[in-house]
Amino acid sequence: MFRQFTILLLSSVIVLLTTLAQAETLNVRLLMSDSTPPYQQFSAALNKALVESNANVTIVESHAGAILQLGSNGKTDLVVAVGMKATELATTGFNAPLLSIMVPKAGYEALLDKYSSQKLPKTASAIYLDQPWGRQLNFIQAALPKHSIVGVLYSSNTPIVLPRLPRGMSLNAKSVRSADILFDALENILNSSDVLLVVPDSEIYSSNNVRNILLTSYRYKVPLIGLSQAYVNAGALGAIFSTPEQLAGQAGEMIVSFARNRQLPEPQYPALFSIALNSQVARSLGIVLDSTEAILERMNKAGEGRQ
Amino acid sequence: MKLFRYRLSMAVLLPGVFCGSTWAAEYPTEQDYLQEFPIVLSASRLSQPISETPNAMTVIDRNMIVASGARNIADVFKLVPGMYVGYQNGHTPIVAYRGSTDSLARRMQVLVDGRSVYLPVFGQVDWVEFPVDITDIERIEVVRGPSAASHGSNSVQGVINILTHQASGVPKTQVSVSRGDAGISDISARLGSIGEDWDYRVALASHADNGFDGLYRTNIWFNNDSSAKQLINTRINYHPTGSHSFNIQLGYSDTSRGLGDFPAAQTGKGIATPLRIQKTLSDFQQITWLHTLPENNDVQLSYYHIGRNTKDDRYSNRCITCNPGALNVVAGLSYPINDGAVIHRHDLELQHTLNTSPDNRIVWGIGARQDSVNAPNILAYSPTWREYRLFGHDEWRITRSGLVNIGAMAEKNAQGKVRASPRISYNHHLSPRNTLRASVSVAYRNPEMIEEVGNHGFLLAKIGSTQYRWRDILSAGGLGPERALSREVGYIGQLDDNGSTLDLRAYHDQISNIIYLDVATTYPAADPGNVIASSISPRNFKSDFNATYTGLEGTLNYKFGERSKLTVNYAHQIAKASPSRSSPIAAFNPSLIGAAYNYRLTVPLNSASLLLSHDFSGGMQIGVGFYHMDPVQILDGAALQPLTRYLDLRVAQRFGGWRNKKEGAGGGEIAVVIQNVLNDHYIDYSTTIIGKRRAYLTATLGF
Repeated sequence: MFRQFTILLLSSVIVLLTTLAQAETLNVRLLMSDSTPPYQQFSAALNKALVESNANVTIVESHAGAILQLGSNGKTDLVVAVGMKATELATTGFNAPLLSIMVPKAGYEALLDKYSSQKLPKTASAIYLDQPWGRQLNFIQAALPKHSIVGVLYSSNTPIVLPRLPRGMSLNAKSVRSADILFDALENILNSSDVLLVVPDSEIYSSNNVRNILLTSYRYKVPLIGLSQAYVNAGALGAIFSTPEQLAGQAGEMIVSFARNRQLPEPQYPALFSIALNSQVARSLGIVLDSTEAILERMNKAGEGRQ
Repeated sequence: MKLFRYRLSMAVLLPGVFCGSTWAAEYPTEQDYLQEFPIVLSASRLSQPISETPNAMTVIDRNMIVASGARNIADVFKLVPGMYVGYQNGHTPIVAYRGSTDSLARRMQVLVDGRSVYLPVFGQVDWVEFPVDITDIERIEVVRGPSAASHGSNSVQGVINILTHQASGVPKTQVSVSRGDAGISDISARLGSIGEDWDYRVALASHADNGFDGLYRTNIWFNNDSSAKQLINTRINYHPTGSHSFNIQLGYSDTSRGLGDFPAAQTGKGIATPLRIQKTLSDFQQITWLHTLPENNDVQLSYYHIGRNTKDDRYSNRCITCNPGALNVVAGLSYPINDGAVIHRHDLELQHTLNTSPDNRIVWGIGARQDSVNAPNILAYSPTWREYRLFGHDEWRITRSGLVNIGAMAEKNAQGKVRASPRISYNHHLSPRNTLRASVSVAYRNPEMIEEVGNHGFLLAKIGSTQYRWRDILSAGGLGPERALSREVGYIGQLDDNGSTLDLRAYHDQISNIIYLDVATTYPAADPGNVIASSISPRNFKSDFNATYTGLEGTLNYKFGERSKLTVNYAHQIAKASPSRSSPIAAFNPSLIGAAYNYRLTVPLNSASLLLSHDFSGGMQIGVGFYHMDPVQILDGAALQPLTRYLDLRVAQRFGGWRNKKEGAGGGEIAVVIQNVLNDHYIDYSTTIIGKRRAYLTATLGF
């Protein structure tokens, strides 16, 4: 059902791409931070979307490691940078308009700040990797209607803008000043929260810490909502995230639009997203979860527009 | 080691991730979203919710243990419906589900982090000496009813599963001191750390008290049951890669206990019980390797060793006016007695948990155990017993609302007999909040060493060519196992959104071949050349009768919001016993008839407990425990244990960072516990000791 939903949206993007196909060739430089599977999946999905759209787009793909070859490969109308590393290289190495994909909002903004004194591409936009707060809270409310106190733990030097919460929910946010008190702070949060929501913060949620955070939250019988399918596999109750394929569809749409009017929209959150649930963890915690479809439907009804 | 070193190591690691670039994160990157993790909550770590377990279960968590004010682990079990907790003396609690035939309760499996602490020679649990401090217990799960299919032999009446904090569970330093009535003097320190690959915690503790007061008896003025224990316990978790984790636990304790009467009874059993100190050194080593496989399957290999060395050397009291006459031969002399025992248990187990489909989870495994004992004055020889086991359990969701648990354990016991203990249960979710359960199971209890090869006594004088011997237990051996067939129906309901629950259960258990201590004089032939001489006849273990238990139990856990919780337990139990048909001497053995008749008194008709806890704002906490038990007669108890009722109270004030339940640095707690608030003259199993009202104060500081 959910897959159908995704396919439906993807195909509508393709239809849009087809109608917007331009005669003039757009030279796109696809700059990848890495060649690991998520980036490859993005690249493959973007190529597929553009091919299927019949858009007149030429893609030259390179990895961030190969920076020296960057300038020597003819005209570039648009740089599509996938990931923070590629975005940083594109910011400094290109003058062409820049579209950043798979970047956290905070990271992208920090990067723009860092290079604000230098010559930046005239046009720059992004599709963030983060889900908007409203969507995350909407997901928690739809999946765990009885879990109203949302715990958030973050390190004090991580830029975080806490959201305003919808009615019936309250936020229990704690910043951690030093490593020594991480688990004290965690226990404190778990004592007073119904659900722990992971935020992108490598100082708290490093791969080493995640193990003990999951074990501790399980011990406290507090479900954890993670950032990816990997979190759910490891033991998080659920996660809401966008796959590289979903981001590629949105990126393809923006590229085709750029080919037509040479303009990029404002930086935006992912339009499409997936949710994942761990039913075994739910059962063990004594939580009754609805099906993925029912939760998505409830999110739709609640109006995803609270962001 | 610490959190903010991770950042450094991330930067060092990143070149690998980013194809050799030296780029390091100065701001959030997509890696927060793209990082891969190993499976942390693998199938074997995920417990079944209570509404899906094959047996009725009671869970006592850390907060309940604290609120109860319990200083001894045994006292916590008063919060289990139908559990008997009594004291033979100040350092020998008796914990038994559905009463007990004697002071050595031996029909429950007791596990501490998977180690079976139900030890030979007698098969009981020494609740005082094992090297675990009550503060380190995270939760206790009690399976009420036979569970041999999951927990092996001796799970005839139930299983107590004590789980201590994980290695990562105490990432702080704490010091705690207690002082109070009856010489209570405890001190403990614990610390822990969480690292990249290693987590650990260490606890050091010392406990001491003077036991109970004695009730005045002729010529006996005080009760010598003081005890002191020092222990060290550590748990280390090493997780070099995401899919491999090693759990190492080590513990050591040194316990001294006062025993004997003053002045000693110089007749009967009294000649063997002079005033003395019994010393017990206990240690354990345990290593568990957990390997997580794809598809959320895992393999666990565990080994543990338990060592226990009890020294109880003394000289007998002089027997001036002994009766019967045999002892008069040796009147006026003292003889050495050595009731020591050296025990070693080794256990190896391999367990494989696999999810065959989203609706089916299987656990199976094999294990072996070796118990060797050297106790020359207690057993006829130094036995080494080996047991082997093969077990399997399948949790199968046959429909959206129906769950079947089916399992069995096949065991080959030390006597070479192979037996299977099967169990099947069906849980039906009437709605997500209401579940019915029906279950049938069979379990066996293998005879203990004392029951099979017991020979307890000491040598008296040799006069002429006759070696005189004092002896009070001489086992004939050849006993079969006790067998339990249990049937139960239960209801588990969630009452509200706060997590309040109601758990009801009705059961009917049949236990056949009950092994009991027969006080009749019909013991087996005496050793050649020896004269068996004891003021009471040497006793022998027999299995000549069967019993049934029928009862109703309930637990209500009610949460008044986040700050208050009430737990109410109630059990109504009826026991009946009759000589078994296979017993040819049943009609003529008054001891057996007496035992069978008295057996119905071994469970209290009604028992109940109540625990109320409340957290006031400002860091004040209060816990009130009330316990009630109808009269009960343990078979070897001196007299009927009267109705017991008592109230315990705990008031604590937290300060500093602890006000918000955060037990970290820069805070602490002062707690006062008053036990037996309403009654200054409390008597339970031993009617010769009295529990007076006692109070103690505990101060805890976190660094």
